[in-house]
Amino acid sequence: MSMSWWRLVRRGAAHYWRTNVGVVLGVAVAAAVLVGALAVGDSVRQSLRARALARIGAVDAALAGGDRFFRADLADRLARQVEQIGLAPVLQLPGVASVPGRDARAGIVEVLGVDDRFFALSPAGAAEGVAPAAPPRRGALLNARLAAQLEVTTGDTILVRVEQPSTLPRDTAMATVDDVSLALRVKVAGVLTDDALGGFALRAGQVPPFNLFVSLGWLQEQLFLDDRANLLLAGTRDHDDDLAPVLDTALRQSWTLADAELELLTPSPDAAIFELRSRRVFLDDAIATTVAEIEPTLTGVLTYFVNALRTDTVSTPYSMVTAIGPLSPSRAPGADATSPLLELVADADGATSVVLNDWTARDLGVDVGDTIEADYFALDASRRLAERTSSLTVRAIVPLRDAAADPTLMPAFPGLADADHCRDWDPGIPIQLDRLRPQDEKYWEDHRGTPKAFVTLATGRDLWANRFGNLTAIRGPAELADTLRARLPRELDPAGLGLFFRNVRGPALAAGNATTDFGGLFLGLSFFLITAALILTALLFAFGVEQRHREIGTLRAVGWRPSQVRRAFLTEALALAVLGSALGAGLGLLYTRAVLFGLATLWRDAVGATALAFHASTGSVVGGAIAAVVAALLAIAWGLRRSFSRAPVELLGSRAGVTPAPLAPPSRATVVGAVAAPVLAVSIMVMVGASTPGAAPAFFGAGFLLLIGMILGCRWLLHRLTHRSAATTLVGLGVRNAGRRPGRSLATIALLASGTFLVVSVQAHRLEPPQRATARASGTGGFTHFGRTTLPVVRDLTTAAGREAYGFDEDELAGVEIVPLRVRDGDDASCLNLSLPQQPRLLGVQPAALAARDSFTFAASAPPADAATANPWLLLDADYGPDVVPAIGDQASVAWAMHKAVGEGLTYRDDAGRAFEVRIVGTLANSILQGTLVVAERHLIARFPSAAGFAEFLIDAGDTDAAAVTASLTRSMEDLGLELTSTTARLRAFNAVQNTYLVIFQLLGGLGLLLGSAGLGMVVLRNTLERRGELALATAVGFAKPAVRRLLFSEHALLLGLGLGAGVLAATLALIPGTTQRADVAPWPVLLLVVGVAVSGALWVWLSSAVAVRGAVLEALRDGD
Amino acid sequence: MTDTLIELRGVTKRYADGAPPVLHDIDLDIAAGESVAIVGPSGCGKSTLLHIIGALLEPSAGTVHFAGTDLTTLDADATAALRNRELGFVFQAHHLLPQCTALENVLLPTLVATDRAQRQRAQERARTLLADVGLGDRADHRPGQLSGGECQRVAVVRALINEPRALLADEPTGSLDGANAEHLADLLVELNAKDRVALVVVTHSERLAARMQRCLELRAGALAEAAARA
Repeated sequence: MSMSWWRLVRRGAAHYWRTNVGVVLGVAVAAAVLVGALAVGDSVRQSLRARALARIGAVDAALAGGDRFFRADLADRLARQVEQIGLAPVLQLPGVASVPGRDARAGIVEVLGVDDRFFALSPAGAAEGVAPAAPPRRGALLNARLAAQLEVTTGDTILVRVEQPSTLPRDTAMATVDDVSLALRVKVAGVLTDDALGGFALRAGQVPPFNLFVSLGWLQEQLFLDDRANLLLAGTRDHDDDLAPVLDTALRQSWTLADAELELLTPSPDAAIFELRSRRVFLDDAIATTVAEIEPTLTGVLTYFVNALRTDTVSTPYSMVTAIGPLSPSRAPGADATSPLLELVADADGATSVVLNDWTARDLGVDVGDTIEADYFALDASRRLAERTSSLTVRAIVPLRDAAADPTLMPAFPGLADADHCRDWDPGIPIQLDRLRPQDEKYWEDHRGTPKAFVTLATGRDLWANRFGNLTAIRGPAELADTLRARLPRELDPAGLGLFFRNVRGPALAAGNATTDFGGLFLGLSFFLITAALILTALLFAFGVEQRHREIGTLRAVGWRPSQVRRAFLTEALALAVLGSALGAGLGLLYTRAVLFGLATLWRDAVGATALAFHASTGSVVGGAIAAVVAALLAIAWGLRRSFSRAPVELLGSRAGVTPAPLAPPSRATVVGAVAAPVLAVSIMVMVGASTPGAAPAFFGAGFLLLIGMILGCRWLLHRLTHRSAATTLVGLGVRNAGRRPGRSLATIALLASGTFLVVSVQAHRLEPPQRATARASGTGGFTHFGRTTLPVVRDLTTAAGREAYGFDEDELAGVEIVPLRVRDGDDASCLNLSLPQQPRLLGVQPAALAARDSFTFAASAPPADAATANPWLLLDADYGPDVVPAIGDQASVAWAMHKAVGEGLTYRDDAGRAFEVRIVGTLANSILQGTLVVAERHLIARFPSAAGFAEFLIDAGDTDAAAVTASLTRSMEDLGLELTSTTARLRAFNAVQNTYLVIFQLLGGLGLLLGSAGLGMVVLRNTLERRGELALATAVGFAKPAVRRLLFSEHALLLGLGLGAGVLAATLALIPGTTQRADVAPWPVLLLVVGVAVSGALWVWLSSAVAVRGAVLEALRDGD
Repeated sequence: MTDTLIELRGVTKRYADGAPPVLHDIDLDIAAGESVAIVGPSGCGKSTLLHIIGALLEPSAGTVHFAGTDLTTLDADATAALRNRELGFVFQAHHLLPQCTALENVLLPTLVATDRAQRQRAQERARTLLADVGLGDRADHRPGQLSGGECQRVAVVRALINEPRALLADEPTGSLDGANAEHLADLLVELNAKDRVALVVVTHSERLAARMQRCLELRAGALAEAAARA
């Protein structure tokens, strides 16, 4: 059999198997951790992807109408335009579910009216064509999470309080705000799995939603939404990425006025005019603009409900006033039945002019030229309902007949239009029915909502401006109706009304990417463990090579070059590394399962409610294994960097490799480094200060510098001890021996110090909620409770009237301050949600409210534009350009979930489908606002008019009993599905994620330190094996074995002490900001950890010392070894 | 003997700056095929001189020429190549790799050769040489299975495998008993005579030294013809 390199390598690997087993195991540990970490990343990615696909099923695109309800048969019309497509109309509304007679309750339930077409888009339906059956009338299908929450099963009855859509947008002054929900009693018809779209959601959230599916037709009937839907789902077999634009084109071609909730009718049979009006009462500006472009000669009508028309002495309560004028200011309206009235009003030129009908003029006792006051409710600059008064001069009095006697000028105001009597009025605004007089009742009976006064359209718009539109009708000659009927649907862009398709699959799959690369994260968390394993591997292999110094000398003597010898040994190392890595790859898969088990149990806080399934890609396993081999080889090559350059004669000597070079004095660079690093560290500490936001990272850096300085200082100390310490005692001898192998001793110290530093100092990043939630600079912002309602709160809870409307008990809630937040739903961008948020949820707030409170602490903010925006909250009102909305978010969410920083932005599409940028102008330090972006309420309303009411609340109960406040608020807002959590609990839940990662890091780091301890034990063994002759001599001259053990222990305990001491001291520096700012951070876990490592290290040293002096030590004398 | 194979001129060796020289201004010529013994008391620098001759150590001063090549001008790789092709070493300890068989140990120097045919020839030569030294049936045994004398003979064969022009032996019989020492001496002398391999032996053994053509004595760092020869 011929001799070859490979044969030599195999022979060496097998012959020195005792040492090599250690090397293989070391590589195996490194490979296991590497492969395991990468496979954890795979598992998270695959789980999120599976979850993303499960929540959208076969849906590729969706038209989400929100509060706009198109006709459900739009799906059929679109299906005729686009081939090979599945379309499903859905009626989606928020609700609260409960079980009659039990406490079981679930808020923020998605109530989905669906039919068979919806389930055809389920994964099961799309893949196998076997879709679940649609729910029966009065029956409900629940997803598993909701069924579990309510603890119900098939056949049980549940009560669902579902939002009752308002025809009038809820944020208009006239909208009905009571009875916003409708209670439905349904019987559970089954529980849906994810495969059957049970977890359907268009947004990525931390947990699956509570989904309740009912029959589409039945829900339409219950809500009086005849054949209407507000969500249209579309899916193709091939999952076409460009489906949304195709559908948008088809939508423009096939939608009708009814889909835009428009009606084109003749107000009265004998009138020769038509009227365009909306189910939503107000006509969107986009509609008015398009109509004006089609036919500029039409008339605009805006009818409003005023609280009173009055003089100093007389008041006519609750009247309709109509503003009327040319739709296009530059074009006079054509002649029609409205013309006389129009001319009359136009003559009453001026912003303060009014035309009264004669009934009202008589009632008020006024004549032309007199001045009257008009009181009316409007939304103020803060969008709060406020009563305003305008003075108007009577320019004309018109008889109550003909065009001036048209009750159809009053739109279908909810609570008014259907009332037979004034006493039945129930408009959205607060009214006092006792102000109504008999003549008012009579007027209503005779003339219904016929306006009592008329103003110009310009005046009406000034007084009753409204973001939902400034017209209640458009009128014109009947002969133009057909033109408008034909052209308006073609020329009106549905996107302008918020009706457009969004690509769902792309963002869902993008959201399926984890916010954090878990593979990288766990690699980072396992860094010290991997490093310790590699160092141990390198040490073991280097020690093995040292044992074979004569072999190296022989090969050198027979003409091998150092590089050839190195290659031979590295080839052997490669073989061992490959073996170890293959073993480690297998162990890595077990490690992955162990980590996933940990994430599902002990470390559940780190991943929230995300269920993770095991998945390991070939790339991760092979890549991790190869990385481990490369890393091990590099570590070994580094460990062997000087092993082959020594002279062959030296290597061939009997004691070659045993007699180390004496410890040289520290070099100038060492001394400079030992002094400069701590000086730099102290400088950083002084400059940054312990209580600034950036203190923690700065102190961590300073601690690291100090660590370097201390390790270099240990180099100097070892030299001093070696040369100065008196070897007159066992301990003194041991201390002197510590400097015998300076490289090995320093490596031991550095390893222990670095590990201790890392594991201990991460405690500095542990987050705890403040002891007092009312501390305004803390992460709670000074708020004690965080509230969320399922149904929107449309009354202003900052006002007495608003609180009264919801039945607040002012005795119980005295002093309780509430900051309401508007919500534009989006992805949860908190660290509780692993999915990558595409468009995080937006919260609209009054910036001044938070600025005045000085709530929260800013981690970073954009420079203030001027003195007015000195408080970063006020940056939300700063002007950053027409298509930029400034936003503030939690630092962790912005950095880790959104991967953004201050100055960067995210692209959103508003209700009209227009893209705009949400630019981060500030970040908050560890706050309860994680997962969202906060913008100015005015921006939110402007961009998303559909974001009606308030759905989240920051509540400052001060020193009021928290439980009492919770009970009182919950009772008052139960029907709205209020859910209250304490802000400290909310913050703790967020913090639990980071804290759990710290625990994992400390655990893995602790394992690394254990490996380091084992490495120390191995150093002890190796040192003693090299010095068996010396120990034998000590025994021969009368040292008892316990004394020799003490000698060895004192020598290596010094290394242990120096390593731990340097690590702890440097880490203490890094902990300073945390301990000065949060006295409640318990030091015990850290202390226990340090003590544990010290005990573990001492145990290893003692065990190794004991093993070293076991057996016939004196034989070493005979060996001459 | 006119063709000088090894030539030392003014070779001085100090192990540290300022330390007294181990070797001082040594001149030495060794012809091809010549056998030379270097004797002297322990610590006189015999092994150091042998290592300098064998390019295992560099002199502090002076020059060493091997077949006309100044060894002090060679870089590490060239020196290694020269040791591999031109020189063979036998030490007091055999320094056989315990994990390899006798044959494999013999072939170690050939592994650095890139010529496959040359390595194939070395395989055959190794078996022949082992047979020549009486170890034909022990080729596949490991050092742990061989006696001390056998191991040393394997070491000699390993030194000869690349057909060197000089064989340098440092106390080759130092760790052998009388019979084995005599057997090894016979082998070295026979190789020297048969293959005309220059033989330089550092030894305390007068019997071995006596069998060399020349015997030089190293004393106080200087080299001189030995006073008496057996």
